[in-house]
Amino acid sequence: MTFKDVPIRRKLIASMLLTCMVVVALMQGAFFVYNLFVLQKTTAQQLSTLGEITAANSTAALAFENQRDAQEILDGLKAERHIVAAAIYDGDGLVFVRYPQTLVPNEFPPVPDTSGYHFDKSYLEGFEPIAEHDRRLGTLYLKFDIGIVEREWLSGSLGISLAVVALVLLVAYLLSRMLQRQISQPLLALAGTVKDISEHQDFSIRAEKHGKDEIGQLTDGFNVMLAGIQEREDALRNANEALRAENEERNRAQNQLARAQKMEAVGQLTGGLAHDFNNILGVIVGNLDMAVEQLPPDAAARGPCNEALDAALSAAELVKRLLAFSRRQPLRPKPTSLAEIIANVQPLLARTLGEQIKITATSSGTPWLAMADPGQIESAILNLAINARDAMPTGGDLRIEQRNITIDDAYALAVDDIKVGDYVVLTVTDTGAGMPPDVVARAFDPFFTTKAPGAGSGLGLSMVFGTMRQLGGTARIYSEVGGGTTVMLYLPRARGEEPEVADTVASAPIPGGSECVLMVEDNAQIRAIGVGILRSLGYQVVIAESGDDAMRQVEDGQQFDALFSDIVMAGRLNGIALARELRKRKPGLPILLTSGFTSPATAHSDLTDLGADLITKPYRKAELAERLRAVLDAQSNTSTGT
Amino acid sequence: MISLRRFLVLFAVSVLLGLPMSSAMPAPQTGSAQEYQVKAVFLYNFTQFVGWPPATPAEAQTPIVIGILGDDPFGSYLDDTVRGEKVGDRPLIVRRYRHLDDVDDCQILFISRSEAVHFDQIAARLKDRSILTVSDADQSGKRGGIVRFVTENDRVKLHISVSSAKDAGLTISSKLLRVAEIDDGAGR
Repeated sequence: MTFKDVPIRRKLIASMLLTCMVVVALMQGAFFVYNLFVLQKTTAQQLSTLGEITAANSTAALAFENQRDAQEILDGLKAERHIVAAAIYDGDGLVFVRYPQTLVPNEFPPVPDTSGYHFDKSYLEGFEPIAEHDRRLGTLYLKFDIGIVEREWLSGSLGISLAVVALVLLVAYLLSRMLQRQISQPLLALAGTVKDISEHQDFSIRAEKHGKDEIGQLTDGFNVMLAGIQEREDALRNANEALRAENEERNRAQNQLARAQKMEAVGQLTGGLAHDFNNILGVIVGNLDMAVEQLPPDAAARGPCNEALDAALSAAELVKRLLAFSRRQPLRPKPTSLAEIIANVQPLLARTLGEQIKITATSSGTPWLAMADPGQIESAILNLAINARDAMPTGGDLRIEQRNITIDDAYALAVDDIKVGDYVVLTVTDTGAGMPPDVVARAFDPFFTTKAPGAGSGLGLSMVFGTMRQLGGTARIYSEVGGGTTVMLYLPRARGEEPEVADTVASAPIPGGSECVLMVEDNAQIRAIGVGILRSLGYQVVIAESGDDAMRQVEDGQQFDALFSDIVMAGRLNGIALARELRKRKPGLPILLTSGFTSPATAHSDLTDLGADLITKPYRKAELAERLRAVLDAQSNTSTGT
Repeated sequence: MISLRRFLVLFAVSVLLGLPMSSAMPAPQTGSAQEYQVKAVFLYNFTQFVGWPPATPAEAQTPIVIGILGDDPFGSYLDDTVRGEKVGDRPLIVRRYRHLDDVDDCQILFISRSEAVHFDQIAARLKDRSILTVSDADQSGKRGGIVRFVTENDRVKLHISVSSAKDAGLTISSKLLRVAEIDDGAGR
């Protein structure tokens, strides 16, 4: 760990201590140098004084060559134990006496030209002239061991110095511990805040300001930056949120598109197939009808014929469902009161579901009228109720509700692919087992069933979905395992039209007529059946093999009272176009159209515009008779009125 | 009075010892030339360690005289020693006296062995004058001489009579006394 990684508090303390130590050391050093200097100077002075005294004392001894006396004087230097050598030289520079006497004369230095003292290594030595009344008699030499003196002085002062340094450092440490807080506290607080922020990723935390110094400025700057980061973070989060939502929507739209495409593909297939089947079934049913009619009432063949007829009708029903799913069933939407439908269907539901299931029907507010085909809605409710019953084998609640909603842009996106506008929502909720998400996702797929093989066709929910889409609404399903299932049917609101009072179909005898009917049908077999039925009902029939053929005949002056035409036909004019063309020439012409299916191009609005009615293939004699009579009568009523 | 009595004592002693002293007289000068070289230096050195009564302004410029009474044993040594030397501002000169009567203003007087027989007379004549009398004659100190050179083991030693010096009005430096033998003990 280098000094850079040390915590700031210790760094501060260390800096202060180091500063103190250096300052004290420098002071002590200066003190030592100064004192050493003083010591040397003092010592030199003392030695000089001693030398002067000794020299003065030894003048006579030297002058009168009294060696004994001179020796006594030198021996007197013993009192100063640091003098390691001394000598008296005579006027000729020869050693007269020496101290200590263990030294030999030639160990003493020669007398220099100038006297005085100097330092030689750890010694202080010097020469003092011996003179009496200016008369130079000789020289005194002294050698003083100043090293010992210095060492003694050093060892004495060093202890004190160390004690002083230790005391100073202790005081400095205690002081710096207290004082460093002034600097480190705000920094540590700031660092703590930074840590908090990075740990919690919470940019709303703000650092507390302790003062107006640089750290205070730093804190301010930091807080400003935090505010900026927080702002950006919020913006980023919002943008992310938006992006995520957008992605989700895109994914949903893609899923929706994929599903729609799948449904479209399956619908094309089933629709095409159903069309052919319908034609075949039409021939079978028609021929069987006629055969049964021509049989005597007690004929044994009636039984098998009726059986065959029932089977053919069952097949027709299946085909109808396929068409419903593929949205090609002929629909007759009209303003419908869902409350009425619910009320109508409730007794049937009660019977179908049994006593274990409690049925509740509610509606909130004043329900709007829905643009719907009542028969298809009844069938859808029944379908859902049966699914609910299967989900609640031990009983439960079935709630049927209706309410009004207005779908705006946001809601239109949330609910798959639905147009903005007013809707009536029919909700069917059970308290059954519920479904896992993967099953929910496929619930509307045709032929997808969770029921045992043979127990369900897998077409129920897909038919409901197809019908709703065809009506301009949609169906949604919500389910949780153990939480029941809710299916919501969105039906577009009907505008400004009162519901038709459902006329109760009297079980009157099959109505006939004598009017001339232009029948247009490109399928020869069906044409034959249709012509057979119409003629048996007493109508005159003009036959056309296509829309173009019919148009040619009309232009040639062919007269007729009503048009009964297939919709899907080869050639320039299909049923709808033909009806339009003829209506132009003959306003008030009663028109009945028929189809095995309606292509998506054939909107029910076309039928409404034309004031035409539609009969689904395969049709039966009674049905055709009734519907034809109805359009003829309606038209004659209108014309009578005018 | 004391000096008179001592003078008499010294005189008596010198009379008693006169024979051996005189017997040495005719003998040639003892001691080597080197010995007199040392003695010459010593004579000169006395000027440093002996205080004379303060000189009168008239005397201040006169030279300090080292006199030799009797035969001169120094040869040229003494002259060589004092040549060019000064005591304060006063130059040093050497004068030689044949007779006691010749002795004039001198500060140091070396009484040669040739005059030893007249020592008492000389001492008596000079006792009131501030003259440092020096001799290397035996027992000279006990007859009123102030400084005596005694040669022992080839070394010249000093014997000083403090009382004689005091009588002569001279002050002897304690340093000088320190290196000398004091002769007064016997005289008292």
